[in-house]
Amino acid sequence: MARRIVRGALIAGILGVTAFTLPSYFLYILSLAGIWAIAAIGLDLLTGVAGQISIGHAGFMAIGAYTVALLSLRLEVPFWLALPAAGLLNALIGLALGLPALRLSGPYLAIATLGFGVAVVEILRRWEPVTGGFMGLKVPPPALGPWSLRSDAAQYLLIGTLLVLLAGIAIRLIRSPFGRAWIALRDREAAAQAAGISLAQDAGGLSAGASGGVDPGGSPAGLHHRSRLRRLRGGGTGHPGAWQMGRFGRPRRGSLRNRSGGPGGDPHLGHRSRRAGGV
Amino acid sequence: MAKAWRMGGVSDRREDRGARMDLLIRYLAGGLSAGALYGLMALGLVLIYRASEVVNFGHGDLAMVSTFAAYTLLRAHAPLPLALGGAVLFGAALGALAERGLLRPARRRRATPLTLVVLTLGLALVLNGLAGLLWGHEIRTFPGLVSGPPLRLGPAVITREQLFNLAVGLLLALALYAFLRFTRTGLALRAVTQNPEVARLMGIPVDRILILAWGVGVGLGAIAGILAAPLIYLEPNAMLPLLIKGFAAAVLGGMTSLPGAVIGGWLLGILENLAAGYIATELKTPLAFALIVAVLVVRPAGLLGRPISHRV
Repeated sequence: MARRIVRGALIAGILGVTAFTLPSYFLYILSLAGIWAIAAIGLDLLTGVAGQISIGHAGFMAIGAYTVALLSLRLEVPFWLALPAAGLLNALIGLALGLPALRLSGPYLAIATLGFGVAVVEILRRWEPVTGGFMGLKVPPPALGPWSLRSDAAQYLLIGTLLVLLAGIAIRLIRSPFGRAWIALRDREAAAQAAGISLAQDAGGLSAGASGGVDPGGSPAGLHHRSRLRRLRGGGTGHPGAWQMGRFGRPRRGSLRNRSGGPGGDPHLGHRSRRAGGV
Repeated sequence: MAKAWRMGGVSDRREDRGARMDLLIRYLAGGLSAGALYGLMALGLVLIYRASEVVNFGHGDLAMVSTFAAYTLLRAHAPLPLALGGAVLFGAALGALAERGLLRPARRRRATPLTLVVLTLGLALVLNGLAGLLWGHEIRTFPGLVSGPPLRLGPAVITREQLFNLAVGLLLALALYAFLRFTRTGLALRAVTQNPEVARLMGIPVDRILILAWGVGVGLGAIAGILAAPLIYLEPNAMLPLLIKGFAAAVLGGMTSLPGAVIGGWLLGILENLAAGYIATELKTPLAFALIVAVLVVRPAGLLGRPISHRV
């Protein structure tokens, strides 16, 4: 317990000191890095731990970003509520996408998510009355209660905090029974292909690393889409947060339910992940 | 005035129906010819998947780079057959190189299929970035390969380009069939797709056959890209919709079936053209995705694929 407090204080100290000493542009870059790191954690859970490939995480991130943006713009939902709402929405979509694809092993989830990513971007681009089409949306900076997180330092703190919390939750998830189930799932498939665990982990690391690039590069719309997200960010924004929700997209849950479907596994997992969202 | 006369009246209604019929035929013809290109894309994907068990996510970018090669050759005033042939060979060589230089070394180190798929994703990113560096991101027009007034076949009107694409798609599919069916190399390739271990024991050079499959598969993708380029524009991300639709066609056909890939391409082309014509153009790409999911839910084995089972 004491050690945990020390560790927490250390991380908080580093975040706090860097937020007030580094130049603002640095903080902006670090914030972007944090966002991609969060995305990579999500992909690593999916690919590295559960052994499933998703190429469509850009789509999930976009949905998360637009959900937060639209909720705060149109309905004036506070940021701390819009963030988990976006996570929940993505969870449902991920479940709907993951279930059919994961009934089959092999390349199907990868193919389906590739199509998903592109289709989502296409829809967002064309659905002008709602999404603003190519022009995008101008989103107010996220606010926590009375504080508007306008400055780069404030956003950096927000993203940094979320990154640390989500990384912690991811680690706990991996060590939990669900994480064990994912690993078993991955290993069984790996075993079926007469290959070792470490190789699958390599794959996970690789894909997580690539994922950041995959969304922008792999999708046509990718560039647009990414620049649009940037623009959204330009107003200072919730996306960073929304993004990670995005990447928490649920195929994982689908996979768990399908393959191992332990009693009560699903509700628990849902609970946990939602909590992850609520952070 | 003449238009006002036409409104209402019995004969006009018949004319109206005729016009609607014409429109339908036009959508079908357009769908078939676009579908032929999706089918070519799917053929390459399925060939590679069956031979090497790798889903090639670099297929679209390999096709894109080949199309840019054709573009560059044409800009340098190379004669048309030389430019096209050169670009297709270039694409095939790239595909063979991807197998020989990228996937085989990985397989040697006992990489899982997951790793190999991620490698093809990386290949797609590298090619995409390189193309951006070499040719830039501005949108270019690719010259049409055939021109001339549209042809009338009875009531149907079909452009020469559509007819050409349809014919090329069909001929290549038949050529591939003949190659697999009647040549020794084709037989070896089929053997490898069925059981690589036994094929190796029978003395078939599996490694070389895999290189061949990748070369032919990517070559087909290159042809699809070159034929599609005049219809869309050319830029580094231009082939992504084609890739998605190739996948949709392949999944629709069963992912392991070559005839299925061709038929899946046609079906997808027609469906998408009907949806675009009667509902909304924007539906084209989302439709491909919806089709993939629908096939996975309703009939995972696709139209012609074998029921899915795997060795454990």
